[in-house]
Amino acid sequence: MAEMFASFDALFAFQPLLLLTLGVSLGIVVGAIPGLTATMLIALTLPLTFYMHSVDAITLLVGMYVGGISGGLITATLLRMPGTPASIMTTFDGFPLARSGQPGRALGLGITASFVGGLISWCFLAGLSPPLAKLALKFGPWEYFTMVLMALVMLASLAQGSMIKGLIAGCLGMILAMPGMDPSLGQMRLTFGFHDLDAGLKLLPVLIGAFAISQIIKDAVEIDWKPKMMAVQRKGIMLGVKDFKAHGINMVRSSVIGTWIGLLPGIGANIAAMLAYSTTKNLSKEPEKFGTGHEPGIISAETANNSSIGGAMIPLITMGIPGSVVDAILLGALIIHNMQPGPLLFTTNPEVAYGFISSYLIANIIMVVLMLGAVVQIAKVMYIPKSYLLAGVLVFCVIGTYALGNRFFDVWVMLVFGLIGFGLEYCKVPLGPFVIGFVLSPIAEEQLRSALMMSEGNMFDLFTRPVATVFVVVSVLSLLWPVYQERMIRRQREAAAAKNKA
Amino acid sequence: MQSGVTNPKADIVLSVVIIIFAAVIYVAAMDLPPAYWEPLGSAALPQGLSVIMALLSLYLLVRAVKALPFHVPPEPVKDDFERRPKAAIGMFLLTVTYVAVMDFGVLGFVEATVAFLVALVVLFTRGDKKQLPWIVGFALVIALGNFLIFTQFLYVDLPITEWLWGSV
Repeated sequence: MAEMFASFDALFAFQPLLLLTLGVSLGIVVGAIPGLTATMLIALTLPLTFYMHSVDAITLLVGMYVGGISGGLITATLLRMPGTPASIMTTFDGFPLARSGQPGRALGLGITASFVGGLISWCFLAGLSPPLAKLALKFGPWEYFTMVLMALVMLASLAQGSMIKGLIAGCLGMILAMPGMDPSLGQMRLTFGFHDLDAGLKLLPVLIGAFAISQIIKDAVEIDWKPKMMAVQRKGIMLGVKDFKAHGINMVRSSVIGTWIGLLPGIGANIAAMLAYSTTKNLSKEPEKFGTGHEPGIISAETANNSSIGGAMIPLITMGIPGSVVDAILLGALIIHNMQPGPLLFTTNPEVAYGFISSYLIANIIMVVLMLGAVVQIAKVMYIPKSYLLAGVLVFCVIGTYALGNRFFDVWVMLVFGLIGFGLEYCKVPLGPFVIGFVLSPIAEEQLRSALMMSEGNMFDLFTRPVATVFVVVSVLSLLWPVYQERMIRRQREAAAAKNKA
Repeated sequence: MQSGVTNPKADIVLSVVIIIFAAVIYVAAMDLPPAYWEPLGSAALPQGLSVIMALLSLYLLVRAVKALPFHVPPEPVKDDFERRPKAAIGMFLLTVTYVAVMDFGVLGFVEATVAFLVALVVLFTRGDKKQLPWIVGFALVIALGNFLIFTQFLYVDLPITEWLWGSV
């Protein structure tokens, strides 16, 4: 508890507050610009954090994360275009409500719901993280290896898209993390005689390439697209006590769903919003109103997507397992700052571990103040000409990547991964498992090899450890679940078709 | 999860590329020396993963080939704007040239960035002459602003045009 108060105390100084406000503001602005994403912003900011104190860096990045997810609701509501995938469900009711002449009300509902979601998931984050980290300290190499395996399998099989492609993406990411020095033997491998590869592929060029460059290529194809203007008034933006009474239960329920979904690796904010939305719809007395500008729809989607951030941070700071792509980048930030992600973070760098928790709460407060105060002005950034924006971002990608090690090799790697990322997305291969495979591969390999050394090469030693066995069982079930689900759907369809014929 | 094949041609190309890549990795890992004091060795994981990846890709390939004769391409979406794949290709080629020019020491950061930004925005705006003064101004601000921030505040040495300014 003392560490928590100390981290809040450290945050209430000029520089951390300024960085947090800057992070949230940039996140909101980028989230509100169609074509730019929070992932892209955070990946591009990482090189700059080299020059910062680790707590300041985390503060800035957490601010961007919260701002980015929240900012996505502006385009989702006003343009029916989700600024981030997390805001897809917000378009269903946010846009119809805004078009019916109440854009202020639609935005106000979304902003307040985001804030409440953030607040409730912060309670889980602050309450669960320290004891979970203590528990995770008891984990050995087998537990760690199987946990990483479980995270990767869940990510590939439960995330949206084809499971096979998700698994291929995960394997590809893991293999691409392997060139360079073998962590156990110090043996060079898969460098193909390229000395620039001796230190392996760095995380940032890969991330910036896969997320920023591939996105810029996609946006360049649609360079002539211009959003349709919608006038936004402040009327109805502030919610009253009546609104909280009407939507309170929905907010709490959707926050719990969002936090729980965020906790599970690979199931991002978009699935959290989808699940919360459908739960609210199923429990509603007026399900037919959903999709027509119904307020509970906006509330459940926005509460859940924001609360999933807090949920996803729990496995990130307690076990070093990223719940989403942005979490994988945050994990990369810890590694870049020479910190060991995982339960030891609370022991070795408590200021960083608690910094995550306290900055998440303050970021939510800053977000709600900024959004409620200036959403009308922020909404105007949607109309910035893309021609200038993309060109500026592209220069920043090049210079940011070059600055990592003052060498152009990293820039070439970034461009190659930009093409790879674009190609994978074109073939509907999810990038999430690819990046998380890349980040987690060294950890998984190190733990597996340590475990095998301890057990003198006996793989079956794994099954003598109950926690590791549970992780393996969950991994297998995660692989089988989509297959079972697909069969059930097919059977239902066939039964319905047979019934129709009869 | 969706398992239906939406674009079999893309899936065929993807799986073939992945299988070739997996084979290259597998063969490259064969040259690594065997493990001598630990059970796994350097080659086991890359080889294991490449086999898994190749098998998954093979499944994807078979599924796509089976779906190919029955595949009906979806109706093209009608947008109220023109898609410009050539602009994206042009942008990528300009970026490659921009990086190469700096990497091979032909131009420094400021000069290369100004030229790159002007060329890129002109490409994006379809050579709109009215915008040219704005484009040049924008390019100068971005190039000089970034140069100042990175060299003076972040202490990053950005490339400079040595034949023009001499070495610093």
